[in-house]
Amino acid sequence: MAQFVLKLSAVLFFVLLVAACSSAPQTIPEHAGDYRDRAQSQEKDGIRVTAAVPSAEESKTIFGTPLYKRGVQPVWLKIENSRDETVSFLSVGLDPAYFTPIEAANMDLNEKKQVSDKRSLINEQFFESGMGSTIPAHGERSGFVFSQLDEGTKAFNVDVIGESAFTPFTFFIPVPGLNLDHHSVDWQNLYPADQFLDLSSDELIEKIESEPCCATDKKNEGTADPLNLVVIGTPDEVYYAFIRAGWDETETIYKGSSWKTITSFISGGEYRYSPVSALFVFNRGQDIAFQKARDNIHERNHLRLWMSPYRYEGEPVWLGQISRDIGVRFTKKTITTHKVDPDVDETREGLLENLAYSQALEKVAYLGGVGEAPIGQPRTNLTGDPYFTDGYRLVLWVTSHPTDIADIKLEPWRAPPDRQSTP
Amino acid sequence: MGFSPVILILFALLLSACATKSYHYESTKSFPIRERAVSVTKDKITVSASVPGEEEAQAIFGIPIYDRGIQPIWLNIENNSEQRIRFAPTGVDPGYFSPLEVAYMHRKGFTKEAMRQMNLRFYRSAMPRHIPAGESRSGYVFTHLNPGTKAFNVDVFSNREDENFAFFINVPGFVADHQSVDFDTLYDRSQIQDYDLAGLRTGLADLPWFSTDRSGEQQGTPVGIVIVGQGIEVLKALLRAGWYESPKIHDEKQLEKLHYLFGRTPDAVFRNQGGGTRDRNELNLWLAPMLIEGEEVWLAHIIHFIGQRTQLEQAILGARVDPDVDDGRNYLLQNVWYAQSLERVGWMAGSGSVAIESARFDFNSLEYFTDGYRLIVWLSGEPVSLLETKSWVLDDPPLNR
Repeated sequence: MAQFVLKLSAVLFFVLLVAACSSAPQTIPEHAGDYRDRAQSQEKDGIRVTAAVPSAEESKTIFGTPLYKRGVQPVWLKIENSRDETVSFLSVGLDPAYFTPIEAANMDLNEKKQVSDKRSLINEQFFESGMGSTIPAHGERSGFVFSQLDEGTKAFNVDVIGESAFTPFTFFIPVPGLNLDHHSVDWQNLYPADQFLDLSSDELIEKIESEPCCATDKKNEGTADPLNLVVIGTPDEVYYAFIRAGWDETETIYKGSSWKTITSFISGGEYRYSPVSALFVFNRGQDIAFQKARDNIHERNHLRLWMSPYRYEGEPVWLGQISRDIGVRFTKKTITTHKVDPDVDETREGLLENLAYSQALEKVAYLGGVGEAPIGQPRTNLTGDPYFTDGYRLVLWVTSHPTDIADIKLEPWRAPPDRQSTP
Repeated sequence: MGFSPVILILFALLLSACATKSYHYESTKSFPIRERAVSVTKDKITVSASVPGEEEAQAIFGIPIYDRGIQPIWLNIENNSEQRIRFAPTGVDPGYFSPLEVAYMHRKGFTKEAMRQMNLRFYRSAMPRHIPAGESRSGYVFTHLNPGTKAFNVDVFSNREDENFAFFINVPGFVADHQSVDFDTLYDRSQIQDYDLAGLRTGLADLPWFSTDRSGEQQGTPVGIVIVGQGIEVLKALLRAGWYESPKIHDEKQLEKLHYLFGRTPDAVFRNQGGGTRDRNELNLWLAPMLIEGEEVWLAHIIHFIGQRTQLEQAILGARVDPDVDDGRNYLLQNVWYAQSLERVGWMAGSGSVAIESARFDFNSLEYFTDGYRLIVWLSGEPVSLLETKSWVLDDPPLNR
């Protein structure tokens, strides 16, 4: 009994402690933490935009509540207007599903109470910290926009409009907190300088078409998924293009990452940056993996890229593989694995469109090299998933500079594959 | 202790024993899918589109795909140009389902041979991406199901140009709330006054500023949005901006909670998800007894749901909504502008401002505050390029936000 009382008082003490900690701060300090050191500025048409993204820890310090845990990521903006007219900032352009300040303050609302208690949801501190919209002529405005959470690199647009002009800006801001796979690659020393081969188009076609069909396992044995992608661009352009197209970066395997994977599996929660198993090309695991969640955690697309020793028109050439998970299934080897859509060409073409609609693509071409496997005679990957393919490799020239979908060029190397239908 | 292996094996046998279903489907030709199709021709390309209803889709694919939130769109693209063109399913629905994914989602209970047939059925029924010069191709795109009129784009590309075809297609089996309103008899003709822009301030000032409850006695929330445009144009503009229709509400309990204006429930209710996965906003619209330069005028307000409540919890416990109703109004302005649905915009200062410090509760115990401004948007069914939107100054826009 005495023990029970002791326990109870400890619990009460803990509750009091938590209550004491959760009292809202009087004013929201705009500049807590050092996230402003990571701020980036851009200037165009008489508008100067400065943007910074506080990390999970910094956000908690600033707002006194764990916003990241609730799926909310504050973006700090300052817009200076040196035009002779009032301009407006458009929050929908930054994130069409943005949270209003009062909404962000109430994201922990999961109490199961009837809505008849007339409890006020208004949090004036959050409201005051909001960015708002209008910036008067020769004036400035700063504040937070509450966006949906993207860890790793935060990519967003800041659209400013006035009577005389529409001025869009694009930002890519790294946010600390994840151990990203591509941060651990030393791009400068991946290949010794004398190993890089600058190729003409004829040489590139020949080299690419004679690369092996598929990735392998660690022992350089077995045929894994088909290498049906070729990406051309610098590492920066590759990140920016894929992030703009809505892909998430990937964490390397470390203690914390496996913990996050386990808890997300148990809770059914989302771990968008979970490590991706290694497949091998050029005798090493992928240099970069991206993933893109669709309707739920078991339905996502995976993409692996390896930098090759080839360069084309001065830019690195990458070999890649993409697969579309359409569910989970059980295997003898790995217990559970994602079921991959056997129609890998459909997945490949979907990527082309995804990049094109995201204005991240300059040029495309088709090459051979994978080898045809008709639907009636499918091949299998390392986990025994069947797939069929027309055997083409899709070549994608990616860009960080927004490119209109109508301006994408088709390089006529090989005729794009055709398909029939009988609905 | 745990399960003994014998039980596990028995269980596994039981599961596999269930896989006895065979696969049957009917041809698209058995239904008036092609006959119902809407066709649009631009240059030398004709796109025809049709949306099978729930029952038709079940027969054509042999499985109840609507139940899984999947809606097929049938397309036929006729390419009479001299170039091969490319069609992009991503343009119809960026999160479209791949054909074999749809089959895999429905695998339960089917034998191996039945699954092979189902896979082939879906693979072969998919709309091909490439249409060679002088030929046509037809097939299905598997999109996310939305209630009501199906609004989508079909984009085709060639090395020289691209063309965009917009479709708004009725789906058998769904009746939207606005379809059961007889708009011609809502008002007496003598009641309706036509205002020009100069007289607009007077006209708008006479319209109610707040909704009420069913009895008309208790105050609701501000109706801070005025939409100008004929019904069909407004419908197209909103569908293009990602809003979808709702069926009419008959449930007495729900009717008690609805907002009323001109003594009636909204003529149309739209919802959107705004890029997220849950319903984010509800837009209530009422036709007003006035015209602006001959065009219909609609009063509206937006209810912005917040918190983590599911739709079921909302129905039982009530929805939490954002007291910042001006943000909902400003959201709509940006939303229709980005969707290229906005022809003209104007603002009118009002008298009914409610400061954040003295926020009020409406008849549903929902809180609100507002600057009292009214947003006036002229909506267009045809796309309006972003930089062609005109602004029309009645009052300066609210500057404090």
